Parts: sequence; C-alpha cells; structure tokens
Amino acid sequence: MMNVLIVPILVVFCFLISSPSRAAQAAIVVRDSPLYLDASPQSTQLGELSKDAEVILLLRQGGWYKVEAADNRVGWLRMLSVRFARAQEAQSETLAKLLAVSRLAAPASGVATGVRGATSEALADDERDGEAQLQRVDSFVPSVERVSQFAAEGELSSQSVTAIAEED
Amino acid sequence: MNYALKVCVLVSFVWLLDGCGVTVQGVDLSRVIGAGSKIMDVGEKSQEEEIEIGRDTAEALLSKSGLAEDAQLQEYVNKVGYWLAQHSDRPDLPWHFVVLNNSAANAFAAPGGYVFITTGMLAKVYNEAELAGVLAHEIAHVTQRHHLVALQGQSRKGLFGDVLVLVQQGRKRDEGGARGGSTAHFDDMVLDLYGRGLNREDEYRADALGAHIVARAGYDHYGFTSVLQALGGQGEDGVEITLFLKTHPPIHDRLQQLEPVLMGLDGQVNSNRVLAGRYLTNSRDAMQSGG
Repeated sequence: MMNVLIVPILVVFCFLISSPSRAAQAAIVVRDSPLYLDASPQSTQLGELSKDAEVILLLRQGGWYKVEAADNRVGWLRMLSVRFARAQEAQSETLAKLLAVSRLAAPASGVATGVRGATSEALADDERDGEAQLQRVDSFVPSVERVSQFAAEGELSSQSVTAIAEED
Repeated sequence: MNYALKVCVLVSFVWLLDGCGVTVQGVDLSRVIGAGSKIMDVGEKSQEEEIEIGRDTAEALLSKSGLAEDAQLQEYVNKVGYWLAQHSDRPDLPWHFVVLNNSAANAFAAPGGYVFITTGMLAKVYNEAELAGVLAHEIAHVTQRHHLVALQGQSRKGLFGDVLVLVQQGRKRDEGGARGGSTAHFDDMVLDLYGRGLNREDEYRADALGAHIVARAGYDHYGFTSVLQALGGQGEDGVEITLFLKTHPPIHDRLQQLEPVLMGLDGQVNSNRVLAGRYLTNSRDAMQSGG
C-alpha cells in the first residue's frame, strides 16, 4: 500500500519544487550495509540492507543519505554504500516509475562525459577566435578583496586539514 | 628512427645551433628550438613557462568552444574557483575559471591555472559545494601539472614534426601572423590530449587532492561524490557513448578510491557549507539553458 502511495506523492513533489535537489533519486545498495536511525555510525542500527537492494534517496547530509527501502524502512546509509540506479536496472514498478519521473525533471541533455577529457561535440565544433575569447576570460578575474568578501558572505572559513601524502 | 636516436639527433642539432644565430629562410632556428623545448622539456619548466604553455593550450581549447555569455555567472564561478585555489598548493598561479556554453556535462583544466566547466555540467550541479568539488578536482590537475606532463609525452612522440611546425610558427611571428602562441600542430596535440583524457592514476590523485582543497576551503567535501554518483547513474541511457565512459576508470572505481579519503576528512573539519541558495541564484540561466 505504501509503495502505491509513495509514487504519486513523489511525482507531485518533483513537479512542485522549483529548487532542484537530489531527493527522490532511485539507487542501488552496492554492498551489505547497516541502516542507521541517524546520520552517524554511533546511532541506533535499524538493521541491514543487502547488496543490490533498491532504495529511494530522500535527503543527503554530509556523507550520508536518508533512504527509504523497499520494505518501507526509513533510515540513514553511508553515501558511498549506494550508486544511482539506471532505468534498465529498475526491477520493481516503484523504481521504474520513479526513474521515469526523474528523467522528465532532468535539466540537461544527459550527455555525461565527466570531469576530464573534452567532448567530441566540443572538439568538432566550429573554429572561433581563441585569442579574443581568452581576453574576455581575463576580464572575469576577481580581485582578492572581492573573493574574501564572497567567502565571508557565504560564511566560508579556512579549515586545517592534514596534507595528503606526496606521490612516490 | 627509434626514440633514442631521434633524441640524439635533435640534441646534436640544438647544440650546433646554440649560440650560432642560424637562420633558415629568415627564421631564427635557435629561437624556434627554444620554443620547441618549452613544450618538450616540461620537467624543467619555470612557472612562467608553464603559464605561457597553459595560455596557448587555453587558446586552442577556446578556439573550439564558445564562452557562456552570462558575465554574472562567469564572475561567480571565478569567485568560487579563486577561493578554492587559495587553499591549493599553488595559490600564486594566475587562475582563470571559464564557463563554456556547451550542453555536454564536462570540466577540464589547462596548465598554468586555467579551469573550464560547461553549462551542461552546471545544470547537473545542485549547490555551490558540488560546484566547488568539480572545480577543485580540476585545480588539483593543474597543481600536479598533469596536463603539462601529458603534453610533454605527446610532444616527444612527434619530435621532428613539432620542430618543423614551430619553424612555421617562427615564420608567422616574423610576418606578424595572427596566432603567435600556438600552431595548428600544437592545437591538434592539445585537442587530442583533451579528447583522450588523462590516465586513471592522475584522476584518482586529482579526486583525492580535490577533496582536500574543498575541505580546506570550508565546503562540504562530499559534494563532488554527489556529482560523480549522479553522472554514474546516468550511464549510457539514450545518449551517445562518451569519451569518458570509453577511456576512463569507471565512476564506481573512483568512488571506491575516494571513500577512505573522505572518511579521513570527516573528523578534521568543522565547516561543511553547501550554499544551495547562492548557487541557484547565480546559475539559474545556466540551469535553464544547459540542456
């Protein structure tokens, strides 16, 4: 019954909210993982989710996702215990419908080439005046004062972090 | 001719030219050889030379991609990037953060402090911490000189060809040619590298260093993980098979490598700003046009 209700609720939610988020994303558990009451390994353990279990991501908080499992249990999983589901992986009706909704709400073309390597689209594009564009790029560089002000406005503060080991 | 022999011949050639002021058809070959070694001898590069090579690289990339017209968006991304760069190992580089008008989700860097991100990637990012994660990954490629070393490797493979093209470049310069900083061959080399991407160890390293930069700058250090998960979930459904998916380590492997790094940072920072509202305010147009 709950599965029947959750889809229309999420559909309405996805269309009503104007600010995007990663809520209501279908995901797959990648390893047997404990489900916690709160976003902390010190909190009460509600049980365990098995590898390949389907969940719906409701909220992210730091390195944790609040999830709803297929058996309606709601709790917190470590973020890296899941990966986002693809349409062909949706085994349950709930997950398939949810993915279909996510697709409708997707803001971009869906051509994901990741964070390195240019795209074939970009490289085959028409020739432009690179030098003129480079001069425009120079004009966007902010002053040190503006960057400091920007950080202060966002309440960003420098943190002390142990340096990562140098490569051999 | 094998590589070692090529090197011996070129070294002899450069030695003979050095100090002789030899010119061929009006081109000062010693100057040209100097320009060639600028790219080939990367390990010995000064920061000034690295910046110069980076500017040539950026120019070659910008000749293929249009800038996003939204000046407010460009300035916003620069402010985020500059704040992050101040928390990297090389804050003194002349950093430039560039939004390209391209619907494909992508980001990449060039030597000397150039970082590019597409409107398509911005459309997949949901808050400033996620944007910071993407930019920090690219900043790490720059601080580690990953592209510079890769360009060096490519240049070595085509030793004589590069010299000949640079002779042509020298001639262009003498004639007041339009492209002083790059040649067609150099452009090809750059575009080939950016089409293939870097090796997987460079990517893992940039993932880890990027997480540290983000954490030092006070952002939520899981933002980049969120972006990777979203891109990984997209797969190849209904879209072209991308260079990323064909030639680079799977996202699942990257996340596995990144997990201990992120957990190591968990207890070290007191700030994990997300800043979703500020991101949405500044990127609304890109969100709408990114697709």
